[in-house]
Amino acid sequence: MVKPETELSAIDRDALQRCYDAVRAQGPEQAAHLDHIERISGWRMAAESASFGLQCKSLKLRPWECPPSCTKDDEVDVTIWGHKPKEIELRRRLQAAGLSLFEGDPEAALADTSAA
Amino acid sequence: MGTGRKPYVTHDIVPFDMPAERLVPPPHLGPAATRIFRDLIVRVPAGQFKPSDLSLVCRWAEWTAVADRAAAEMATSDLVTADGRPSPWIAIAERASKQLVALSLRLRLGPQSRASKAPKTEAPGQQSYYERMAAEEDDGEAGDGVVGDRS
Repeated sequence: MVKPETELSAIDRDALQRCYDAVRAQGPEQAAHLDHIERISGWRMAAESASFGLQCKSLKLRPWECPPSCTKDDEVDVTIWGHKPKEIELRRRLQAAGLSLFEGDPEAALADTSAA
Repeated sequence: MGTGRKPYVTHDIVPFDMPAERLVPPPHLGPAATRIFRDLIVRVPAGQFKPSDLSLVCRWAEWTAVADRAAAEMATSDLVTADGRPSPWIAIAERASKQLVALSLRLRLGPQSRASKAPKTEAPGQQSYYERMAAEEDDGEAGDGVVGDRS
């Protein structure tokens, strides 16, 4: 279930806004796509869509692999998308580092955190 | 007529006991071109040509007949005429060859058209983040939040 926009934490909102801006900056087609989602489902869905796309690309995910933005809890279940051990492990790493699950490039964000 | 739902897909199949449909030379083709037409049609897969390709196949047959005739004339007569000029059959053969080269590509005849496209160099397979996590675990490396080279 998608949490209401008001329940977004500051780091989530910041990460989503950066994803949204990054995808909009990719070109007019991408911007129009986000506009379409936003018109129908609101800014939150458009920004989550942007985050989803960026994470899939940056993590080079296979079609059957789940980006951290779609992992909803810490429950590990190898049979469920978004609950596989590695998916949950990345989710936990991001949370342990104080990062948003919506970071467009989670790997780079983790590297920046560990380098700081 | 059946009353059920129409299928979404209509299969174009040839009945088992019926011959495959192949193009038939039109009656206006000359005898040589008709022979060449039939020779071509039976030597290619049945589905290669559609009825809409008929005129192109006819042109192929006609130009092949012209090229054959020109070749025969050049083989049996001098390439230079009595007044020192090149035989007109040379120009005819040249023109027929050009036409045949162009038509062969359109009709997918000849080795170039048969050959599959040159295989492209494929980039090495990229591992996903999760696959690299698993690989590093297999290697016994400790996970520190950064997985492998990001290149």
